[in-house]
Amino acid sequence: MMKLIKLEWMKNNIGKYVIKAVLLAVIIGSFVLALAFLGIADDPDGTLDAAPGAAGISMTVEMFSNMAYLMLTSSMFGTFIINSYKNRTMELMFSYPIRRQKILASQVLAVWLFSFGALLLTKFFIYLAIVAGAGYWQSSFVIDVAPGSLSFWKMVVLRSFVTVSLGLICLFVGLAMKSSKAALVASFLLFLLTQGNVGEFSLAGNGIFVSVLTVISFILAGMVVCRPQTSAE
Amino acid sequence: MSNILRTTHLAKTIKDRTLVSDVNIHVKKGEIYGFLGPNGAGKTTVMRMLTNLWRPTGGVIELFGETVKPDSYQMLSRMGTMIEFPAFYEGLSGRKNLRLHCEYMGYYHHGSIDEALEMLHLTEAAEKLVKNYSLGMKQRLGIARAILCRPELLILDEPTNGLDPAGLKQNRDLFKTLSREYEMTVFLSSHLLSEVEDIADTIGIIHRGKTLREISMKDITEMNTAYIELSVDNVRQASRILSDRLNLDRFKVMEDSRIRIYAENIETSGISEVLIQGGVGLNAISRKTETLEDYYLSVTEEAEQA
Repeated sequence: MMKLIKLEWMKNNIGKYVIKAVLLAVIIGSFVLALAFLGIADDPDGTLDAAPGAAGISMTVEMFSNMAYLMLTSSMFGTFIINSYKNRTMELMFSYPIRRQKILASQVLAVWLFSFGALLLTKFFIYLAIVAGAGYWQSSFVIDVAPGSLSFWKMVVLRSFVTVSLGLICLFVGLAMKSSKAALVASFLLFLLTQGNVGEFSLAGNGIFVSVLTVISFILAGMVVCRPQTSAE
Repeated sequence: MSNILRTTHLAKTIKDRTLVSDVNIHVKKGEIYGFLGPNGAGKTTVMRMLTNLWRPTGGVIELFGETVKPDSYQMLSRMGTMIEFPAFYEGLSGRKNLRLHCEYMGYYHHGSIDEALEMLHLTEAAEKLVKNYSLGMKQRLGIARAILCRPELLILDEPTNGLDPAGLKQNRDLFKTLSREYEMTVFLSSHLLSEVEDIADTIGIIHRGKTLREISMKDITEMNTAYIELSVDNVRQASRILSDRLNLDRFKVMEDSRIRIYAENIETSGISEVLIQGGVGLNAISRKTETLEDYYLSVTEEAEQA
């Protein structure tokens, strides 16, 4: 399986996505650091202008990095899988002496593993930069980053796991609509659903809702892998 | 010789549309089999089923002596295929595409990629990205990929698409070499009947989803009827003269003022003399033999009328 995953990375020029991930880390990191230490989100009187309950910096880091990676994951699913059906390279794959389910599983895993790893690294470097910055500058946000705490990193890993897994819903939508753009739109809508708020109501932080979505993601991924389609069938 | 590929009453229906309903194919080991049929007859559908891309809704496919099942993946390692236009990873070079193919097929043979590129005259373009290839080059790369792992059975759908005359000639020579020297069985479809005629050992004709005829080229050649073809300015008068003065009854009026006379013991000089005497303008006269095209057309027209 690992060989198939590596071949997927090679075919789809994974170096391009490594550069994208680095750029994302730099952009999100710079923005969060500017929010925290340059006070770009502060009111003119110097008080922090943050959403209710988002006074801690980790909330901001999680929100921006999860949003960016949900979209990146969906875009990768579009390139790795949805476009393979469109440009018929999937048929080429199905002409090889390999179980179709294994082929699809390797494609899903190639995206999932890369995104999960890259998201974790992105968050890790941003949190480290915040901790380092807090030693020199005054932060507008509460520095709720605990690099020495296992439970803190557990939460980081869990949130990253959920974010990347939600991309599987986008994959399913994209395949159903035969469009990688549809997958991208689905990722944006999914982000709004999980992070947005209507007045004071928000599903962000609702553990049950997120757990249900994650379970649905894996059910849909199972359907994608177990029922490979060929054109016109 | 044993059959390497055999289908029995093969059928495929998608939703309510019947694509093929009764296809019976018998391909012997080591031969070149030309699979012919008009557009929409079901050639590609059959090829998709043979390569396990589509599952039949009826009938049986036997490959290498075994019945093909939905999970018959290992058979695919013994086959080289190119169905419709070949798909590639366009952002990779021709060589990298072939290397990927070897990885997926589990075929590691030093020098095989260079050899396949050379056979298809693509050595110089090997490092170019496939997105910069012409249609003909992509077609050749598709064939290179199909033959790369030295398959026992080669299944090629319209391998002549997009090829120039030099490419067609190279292809013909290549398929003959693969069949004669490498003992590969070649199953190919083509709408260029002259190409198939030149290389095929056996042909199968499919029409409206059914096999009409399976026949060896040797048999076609043996039963080919020689004929004399005339081009005249007055078909009606010429026909009357042929019938009344030469007592001929086996002739056929074709399109474009042409008449075909199916008679062996008659000289062209005699015919031209009688026609000219009868006041018919004779534009051309020659003795011909029926081609595969003629045979194919007669079979499909017969089916059309039935």
